[in-house]
Amino acid sequence: MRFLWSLLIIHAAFVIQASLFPVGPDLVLLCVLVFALRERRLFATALGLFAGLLFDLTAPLSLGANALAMATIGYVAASVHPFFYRARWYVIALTVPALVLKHAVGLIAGAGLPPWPILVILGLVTVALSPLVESLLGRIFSRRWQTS
Amino acid sequence: MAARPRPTWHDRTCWLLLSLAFGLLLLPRPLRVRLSLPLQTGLLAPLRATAWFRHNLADLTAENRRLTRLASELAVENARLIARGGRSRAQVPPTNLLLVYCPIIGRDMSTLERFLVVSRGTRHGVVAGTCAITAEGVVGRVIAAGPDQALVQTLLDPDSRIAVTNLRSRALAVARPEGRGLTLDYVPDAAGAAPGDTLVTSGLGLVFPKGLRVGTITAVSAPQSGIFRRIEITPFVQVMRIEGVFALVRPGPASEANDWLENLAPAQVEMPLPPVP
Repeated sequence: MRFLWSLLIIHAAFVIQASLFPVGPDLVLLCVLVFALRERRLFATALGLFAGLLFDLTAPLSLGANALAMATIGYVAASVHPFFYRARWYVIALTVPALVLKHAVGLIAGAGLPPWPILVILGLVTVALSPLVESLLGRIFSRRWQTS
Repeated sequence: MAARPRPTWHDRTCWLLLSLAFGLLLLPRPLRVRLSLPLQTGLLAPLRATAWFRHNLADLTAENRRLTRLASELAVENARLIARGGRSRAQVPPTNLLLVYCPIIGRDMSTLERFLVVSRGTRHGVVAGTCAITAEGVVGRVIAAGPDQALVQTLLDPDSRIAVTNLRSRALAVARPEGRGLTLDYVPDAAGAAPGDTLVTSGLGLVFPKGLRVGTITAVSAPQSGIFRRIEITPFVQVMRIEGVFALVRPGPASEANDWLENLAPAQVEMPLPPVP
């Protein structure tokens, strides 16, 4: 049930991002990171795969690039989080390498990069928004995460 | 020395999912597009709803659409007039193509300008191979179409090519994307291209109708080793700034969609203009 809710949230974040802020923060990536912080590896990997597939559907010639990148981000983030203290800075610290990984895989797979100025602004806005997203999802899922 | 822990079924499933994502990258490109079509229809449906809501929010939108359409028709007609040697309107035969307005509901989320998802599909006559334009010029072409949405490959996608004519010198060339613009390769030194020249579609390749505006030449570099010049073009259409495109649709029953997938590389879709009397 929790997985279905998280899928819905990822999909909602994608719809908001794609329809309202195509040139804006990477909300989907932030959601995947926050879930990876709290959930198990399989959960985070599957969620990342789903999120990446959503991105790939907008450019199917590079189908798989974002799916691989996001699934890897989910897997790695969920794998390393037991070694860190669960604080808000954790999401902030992970956002930058996650963005780099996502765009690097996309570039290697031929999905391309947005123009550099936009990329930098997107990165900064995404990092700035990460505590907000973490806090918001933390409130929504607080009871479930406390009981799990 | 502690024994290495055996991987659990959780780990194995994780690796399976990662392999699945990697496997998608290894699929042939036509198959990727074919696989994504049903998923697009389902998972991108909310984008169509939000686009519909946005585009019907105020009457101003409709008015703007009407005016844009008018401007687009005039631009097409103007380009056609220029391409045919400045004939008067009465001498030019009416086109057999219709303009269908297609709101953009999604973009390629990596570069934002290589692919566009529009909320018109085969039910509206938009099929694979349909040309997409705006009032400013050519945007690209539809490479895959579902019933209610279609995928437009813009001129900035690395796989995109477009046959063009220099309006001034009448020299023919093929433009390909480079960086955030286009470039012409293998243009002979004698072709006489100069900065400021306007390029329009040549009609060769049978994908884009003849005479649509493509871009303007911004730089011409001298031949370094040989006889060819390298020419940089700035497209008239700024893909990042458009919210909708017009599809040039042939009236009548929609032809078989996605023929394009059968042969991805060359342009196979025929869209002839009526003969000039």
